[in-house]
Amino acid sequence: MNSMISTLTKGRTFNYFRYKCKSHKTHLITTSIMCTLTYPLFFIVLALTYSMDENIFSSFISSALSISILAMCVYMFMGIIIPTTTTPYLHQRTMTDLGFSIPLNSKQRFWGDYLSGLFIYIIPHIISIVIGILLYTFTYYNDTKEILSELSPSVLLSYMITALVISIMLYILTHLISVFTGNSGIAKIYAIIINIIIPIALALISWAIFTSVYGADYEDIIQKVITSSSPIGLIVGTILNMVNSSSEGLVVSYLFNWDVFLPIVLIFGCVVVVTYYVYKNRKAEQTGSPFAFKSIYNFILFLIMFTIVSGFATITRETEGDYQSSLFMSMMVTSFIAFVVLDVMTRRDFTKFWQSIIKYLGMVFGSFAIISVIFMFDGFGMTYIVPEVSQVSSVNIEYSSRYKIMSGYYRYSSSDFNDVKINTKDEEVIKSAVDIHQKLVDEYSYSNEEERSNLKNSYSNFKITYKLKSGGVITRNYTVYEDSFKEQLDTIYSSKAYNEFKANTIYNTITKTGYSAVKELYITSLIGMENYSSRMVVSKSNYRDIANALKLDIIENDENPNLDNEKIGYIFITNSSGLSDYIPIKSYYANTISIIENLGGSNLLNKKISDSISGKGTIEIYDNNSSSSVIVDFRDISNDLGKIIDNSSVYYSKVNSNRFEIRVGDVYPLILIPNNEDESDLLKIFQEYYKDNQYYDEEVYEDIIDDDYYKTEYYY
Amino acid sequence: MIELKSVTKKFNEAIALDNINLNIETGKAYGLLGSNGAGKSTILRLLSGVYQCEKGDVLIDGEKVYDNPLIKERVVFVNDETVQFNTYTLDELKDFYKAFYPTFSEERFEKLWGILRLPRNRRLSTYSKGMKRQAVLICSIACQPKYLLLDEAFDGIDPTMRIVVKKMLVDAMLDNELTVIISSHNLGEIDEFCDTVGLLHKGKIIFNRELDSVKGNIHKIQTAFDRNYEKADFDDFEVMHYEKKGSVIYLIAKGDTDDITEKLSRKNPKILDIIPLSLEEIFIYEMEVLGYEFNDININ
Repeated sequence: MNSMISTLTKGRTFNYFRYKCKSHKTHLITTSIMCTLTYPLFFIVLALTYSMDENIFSSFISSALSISILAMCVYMFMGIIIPTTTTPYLHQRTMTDLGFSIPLNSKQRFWGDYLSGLFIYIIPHIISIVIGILLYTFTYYNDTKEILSELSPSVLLSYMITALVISIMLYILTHLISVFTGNSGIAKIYAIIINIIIPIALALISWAIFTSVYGADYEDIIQKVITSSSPIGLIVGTILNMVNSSSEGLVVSYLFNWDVFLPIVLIFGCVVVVTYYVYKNRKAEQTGSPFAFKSIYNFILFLIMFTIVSGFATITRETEGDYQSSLFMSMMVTSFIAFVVLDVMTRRDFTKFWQSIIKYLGMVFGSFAIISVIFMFDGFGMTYIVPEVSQVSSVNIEYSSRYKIMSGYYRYSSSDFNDVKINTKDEEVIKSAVDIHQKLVDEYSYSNEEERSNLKNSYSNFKITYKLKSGGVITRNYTVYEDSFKEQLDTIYSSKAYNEFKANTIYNTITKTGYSAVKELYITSLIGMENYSSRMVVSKSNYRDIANALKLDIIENDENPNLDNEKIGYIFITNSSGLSDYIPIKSYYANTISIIENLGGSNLLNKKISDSISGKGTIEIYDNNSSSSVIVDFRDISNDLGKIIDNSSVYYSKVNSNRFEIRVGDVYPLILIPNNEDESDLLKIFQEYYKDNQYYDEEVYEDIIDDDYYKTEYYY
Repeated sequence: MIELKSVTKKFNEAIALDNINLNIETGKAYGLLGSNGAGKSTILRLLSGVYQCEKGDVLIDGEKVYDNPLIKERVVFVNDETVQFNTYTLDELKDFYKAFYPTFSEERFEKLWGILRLPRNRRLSTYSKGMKRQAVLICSIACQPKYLLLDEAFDGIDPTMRIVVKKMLVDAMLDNELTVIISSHNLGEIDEFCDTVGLLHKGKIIFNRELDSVKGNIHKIQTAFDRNYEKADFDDFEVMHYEKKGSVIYLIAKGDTDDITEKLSRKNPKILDIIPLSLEEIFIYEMEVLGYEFNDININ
């Protein structure tokens, strides 16, 4: 960088830079107009219309948005035009003598060209961002109708900077192609091809390799690989991230992650260096030929062939039956057409066509050979790699648990998962992760296709990322049935790292602002949250105190999240989109209890459910395929269960149901999920429950758990 | 001083210049002659730093030219194309040269422009070929380089303006000790303008001499004898071309005039005329010796 700046400021290069900017003022005018039509136009329209009638506002905004998007597309396309037209002496023979004979050395000429092109392309964009963000910030802080509240200026700026980085990446990549080629038409065509083919090729190569590695987290890897390697990849990665995080509202751009941004800086920094060295070693006489370096042409052609072959090969691998031969034929035809079109377009000649055919066959079968080796050896044996505990410096575990993070209760719905994310150097946790990983490799590798396909269809994701002491990183993402790893997961649940994660999750949930902020928080007794007399609403000004107290209590007490028998009440929360959750208050949460007492809620704590049981209840039996409708039975119950449910109805229930809900009085339903198909056991549980307990209390709950016939929880 | 020391330049496998050595002294007007593809333009491109040689050294004032802006500042190369300047006006063209050549003289430019009176604000694409050449030439001279390399630079300029332009060049040579190297197929022009010439053929230098010395060394002889002499009868001096029409023998011979006259006189010629050759004729006969075929050309 220093060298670049000193080179630029030296008179000769600066003269050249200035001359180039001046001589390409048409480009500068075009980019300036396009950039004005993007952010400034859009945000001026926004500023002028946001306070108007909704219909007028949306009509103006949609028109302005269309113009802005179109202008942005044209601007982006200039990222291909500018680098391929500002160095005509590399692409037109008539310009070679002039370009190379002027009194500059190659370094001065390169940086003069490079930076003047970048200046022409980027400066109008930067100015439009500055104007756009100022306009938006002004509008945002004057928006009394709060229509812009979902998009803060900082988040918007992150996307504007992402667009700027995309345009810089496009310029850098196109400039590389420009110095490789000796003809401006070929330069433009291959710049477009390379921009498209890089993300596709990398995605397919990664796909081919990582789908061969059972458990490898290929979606994440592919997203990161394509995002860091090409402008189109960054566009795709940013959109995917927006879609994936849409539940949290519009979050800061994907680019603003170090593991995305740093690779981009490193890769594209290397591209600039490579471009410079290619330029420096390029000869004037190479101008005019399609490619200044024939090997690069062959490499690009091979990359295209490899992309087609690996795409078809990976699809064929996943396809069963008679389609394989037709897929092979499609692959041969597609790759041959692509090859002929590119070869004829580049060479503009049919002579020595037989040599081209040999080259084509060599490239296709070479690609086949590489793909076959990848497939045969399970992605070069990566499937079976499990690190030793001693090799791991830290582990990051992310999984979708069926245990509620805040309450620790088991959730019954297959679609209801909670994202757990812990990062720790705790050796016990590392050992648990390695054990889970080893068990997965041993029991569910490719050799056990049936088990694997069972796992594929259900249960939760389990992602392990090891940071090795050697500096390496291993990432695996399996689909697991959580309870198969109960022993190892209990270690994780008992760890300090999990406790901290839980404490932070609770703290963040309560103190969150914006889209998913807590709308209502109240303290409730153990006996039913529908009963308004058993709860106390907490004002918003106290949320942070409660969050802090809970965080302190959870971390200090180093509790086992599943240990539920100490609870004396709940903190119940809902957010604006209606999502709700509750946090058990344990008897040893001194800080939390103290705040609740100060708020006047001490009477709600330590209340037994049995205190309020009265009257009749209902039984609801839910079908396997429906999570919320009563299918089998719905009737009042009396004290004697045997009189209400006869053997036949329970038998029917056993076959078709996935859970029972029993409501007694205003106590919230106790969920019973049968996991034992023996009819007599099922009946026994019901009968025992109702014979011996006319009300629910903690001991019965524990008994049922211990009996291991049912999974139980309170359901709200 | 320009020096090419054992220079070899290849284009892929084709050898454009094959181990050539050439010295051109400062202040000279040097003419590069040669058949198509002989390597004349390649030499100019090596001297202007456009090409880099594979072997040997291309030196100007003792320093390598390639990638050396300090030396390139002393050299202006005007090639045989004009389309590269089509989008420029004359003033923009002047600004272009001015941006890169610190010795550019605005005063000289105005003086030269005052002579040619080319339109200043029209794009060069609207100029005729000859006008474009004049525009480039006045800008090049205004750069006040030490070395001016001209590749077919007078092509398209009308005879009157050629005289004017040549005058400008001669003035520049006198004022600035300018060295001009001209590559042209118009040998009359080189004959008029250059004091030293070099002949290239298939990447090799055939000769590199003062023009007078070249001219003084090759002669056209018309002679007739009362005997029937064949070509072999004249092997006592170097005969480049022999032709007999009736009793008259036409010889192109190399060597000292007196020596050739004396040797022919011994054969008692009835007629003996020694006629000076034009540079064009010298070129043709030299090339014929080198195997360049002219079967369909009638030299008389």
